[in-house]
Amino acid sequence: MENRPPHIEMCPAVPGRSDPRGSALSTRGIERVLGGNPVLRGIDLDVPAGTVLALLGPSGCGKTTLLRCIAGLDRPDAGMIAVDDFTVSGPDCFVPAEKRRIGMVFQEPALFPNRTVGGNVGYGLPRAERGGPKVERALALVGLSGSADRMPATLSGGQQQRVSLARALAAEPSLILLDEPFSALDAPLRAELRSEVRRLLAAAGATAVFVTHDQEEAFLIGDQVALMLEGRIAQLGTPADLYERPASRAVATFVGDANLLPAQAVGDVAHTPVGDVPLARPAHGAVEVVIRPECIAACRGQDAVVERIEYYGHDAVIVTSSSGCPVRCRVMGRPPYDTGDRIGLEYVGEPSVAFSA
Amino acid sequence: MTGRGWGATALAVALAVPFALPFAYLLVRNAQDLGGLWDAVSDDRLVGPLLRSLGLGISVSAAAAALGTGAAWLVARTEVRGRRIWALLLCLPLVIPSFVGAVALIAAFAPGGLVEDSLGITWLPELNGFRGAFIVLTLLTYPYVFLPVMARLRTLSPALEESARLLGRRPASVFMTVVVPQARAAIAAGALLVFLYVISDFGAVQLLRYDTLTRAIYADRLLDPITSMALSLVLGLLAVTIVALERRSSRVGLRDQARVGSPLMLPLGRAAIAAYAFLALVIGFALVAPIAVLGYWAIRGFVRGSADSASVISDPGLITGPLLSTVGVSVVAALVTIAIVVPIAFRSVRRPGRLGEVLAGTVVGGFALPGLVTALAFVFFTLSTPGPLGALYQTLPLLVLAYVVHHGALALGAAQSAVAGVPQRLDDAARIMGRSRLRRFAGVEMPLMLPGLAAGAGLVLLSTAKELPATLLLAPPGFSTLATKVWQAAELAAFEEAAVFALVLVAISGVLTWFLVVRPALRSWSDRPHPGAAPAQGESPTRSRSPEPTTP
Repeated sequence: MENRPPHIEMCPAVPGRSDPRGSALSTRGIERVLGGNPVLRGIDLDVPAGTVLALLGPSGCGKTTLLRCIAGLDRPDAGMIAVDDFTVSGPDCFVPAEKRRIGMVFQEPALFPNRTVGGNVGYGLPRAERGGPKVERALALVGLSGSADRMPATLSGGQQQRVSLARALAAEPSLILLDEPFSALDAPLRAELRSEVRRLLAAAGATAVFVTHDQEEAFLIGDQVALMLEGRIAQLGTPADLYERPASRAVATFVGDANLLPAQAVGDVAHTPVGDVPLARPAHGAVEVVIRPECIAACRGQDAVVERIEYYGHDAVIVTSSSGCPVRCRVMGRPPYDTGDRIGLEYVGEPSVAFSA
Repeated sequence: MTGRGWGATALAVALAVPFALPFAYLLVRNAQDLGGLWDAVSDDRLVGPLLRSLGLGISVSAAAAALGTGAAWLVARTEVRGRRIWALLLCLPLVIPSFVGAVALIAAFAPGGLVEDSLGITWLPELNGFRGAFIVLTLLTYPYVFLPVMARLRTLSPALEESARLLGRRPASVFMTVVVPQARAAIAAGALLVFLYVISDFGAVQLLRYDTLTRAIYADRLLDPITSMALSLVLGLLAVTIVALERRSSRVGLRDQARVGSPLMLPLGRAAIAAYAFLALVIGFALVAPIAVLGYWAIRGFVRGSADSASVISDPGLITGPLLSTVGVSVVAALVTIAIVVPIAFRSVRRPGRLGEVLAGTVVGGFALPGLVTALAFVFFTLSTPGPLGALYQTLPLLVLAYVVHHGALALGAAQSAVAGVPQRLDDAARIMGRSRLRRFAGVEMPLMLPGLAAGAGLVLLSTAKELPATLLLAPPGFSTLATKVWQAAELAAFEEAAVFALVLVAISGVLTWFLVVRPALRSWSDRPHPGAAPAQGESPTRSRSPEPTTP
């Protein structure tokens, strides 16, 4: 935190950085070292205006640090950040948080306990508008019309988080950052708020970055998902890109359940223990093929031994061993097998991805 | 409930009785002479001193609140360098008793003092009366606000301030709309303690000649005891009310939201010079200046010598008598206090309920009553009682009893935490193995409680060593502590001698304060705060009474 260049109130747009599509947020080469550990190692992101980017990653991968750098709560050691084509953070410029027009929702609701709900929502507005229709409109958007005079402590955790979102939306920021906003809530409420926030952000036409460590949440909320692993963006794409065409083994195993099966690739086909699997990109020689458990069907046969059944109710995973190699196979409902049964396995999915072994 | 349980309860109740004695005696005596009470409170003898006490209390509390809060915010929320050092130095004025501060102020401006001699300034107005008392007391009491506000800022969720910044508010606006409202309870609690300190203060107002209640009580004690007792009752009621308020305010603590990450630190930029100047000025006037003035007088004394052969200046060996008396009587008071409060702590922690609260409240009430009032109640009581009780007047046992009553709450808070720290299941386990109550206490509980009890004893030791009015009124003839020596020398304007005793007293108090107050507080501020980190217990006994770790 020492030896920083002086604050510069506003910086001009960096020439050559303006994106023709109008990125609401761009970052280039963001690096941040905290306590001697490199936490961010060169982050490049572009979030088109009006879209939601889900920033997915395990805890400690640096996603919260990145969010704080974007917000202006932390300063990157290198790289630049532009919001609406204005550089807000760069080698010799740093716009303080209060001048960035960025809204943020934290893990905890962070409502000012000494102010009413209306007082909280109006806090970021110019003085003249604090009692005005903007506050009520923002509250209506999150389904809390008429609560302006209540105190935050009288609301439930889910309602408090809605107020927090209304507070961020009321100031009509260029960008909204959400830092695992549902992690403090219990599961049913999470599911409910998840789809609601998705609808809300779309209704407000807001550009947002949503941080989460929950893959389902990232897929449901993000137009694009950026998977962050160890301070780098491991892959950026649509949820389907990440799931069906993972860029690396790490992405394949972090996003969803995956079998990595040893195989011999010949052009666009790989010979695997569960039969031939079409490849999206041709490969040759010894490879590992990413095969999602639901892309394997159980059939009559003798190739695999059922080791155990993981029964989840709506579906189940048959854990088998095929030529000494563990294979997970997901089926709907309860499978008609028992431990020790011999079954056959076949590949039923789209062309998959292989990594050289 | 077993018979033994009743025994423990009876013991605890009996031990709590002395703490209620002074106040009860004042009530009874004033009730016996309602006419005299009415005369005293209805005319100028009360109104003037009362208004001066309240005025001084309110203005010092307000100034200390502003100073303490501002300093805490600077240290906890800006990129000021040397955060830990500043925090440490800002606590240190606690080591200077108010009468030593007053002596330093008077000595600085006295003819031949540091201001005239070294700086050559003679045009400054005399800092007597309200101005002097206001300056001395504000500079010495702001740590009572600084400490709780620091502790509060450590636990305040950074997300609140971050949200406010992201919503477009500048740091100054965030301070006023988020930080101050959130720290309000801590500021108020600290300010109430300052108020209590000021209205109870005897040494500074007496030396600086500002006629507050304590000064009127002291002046009237011989010639007009009726008025003195009436004023004592008024002051006592005021003090007890303040402590009751403080206890209530600390009970209604806000439940904190989860704390994530470290708080935003404000870059100082061009304001850095102003910030460092502010901190340096506060520490300079509150800590460095008094010690420099005393050091100047002490050195000047030893260089020039003294004509008086009974002066400590001519014979530095004369320091040993008061020094040993101070240490001896303080150690005895500390040990007796611990012995008396431990049964009360057991009763109030192990069997929570109304009786336990009343017992603990009684002990805190003894602390709330100003030392001067406590001592005067014992004086009037012994002087008007014939027989063996009357013979206690100006004996060491009565002096120690006054110390115990006045400082018991300091030890009780520590003892309650110590008792609460020993799990009941350990006692149960020892009991199942057939140990008697006494052996369980000596073999299981006592060793575990020892560190906590030692801290409590240390606080009593520290406060007793600095105590002035009770010692002046109750000490046997010829028995002098460092505090009374400073006092006597200052009254004779023998600043060289006063300075020597005062420096020794400040040194002792400094060492004790370091180990008992500052180090634990600094430890809780170092690295990441952990949930439930207890704030400095230190010198705010009314807040540490609850057995659970208290949050500010």
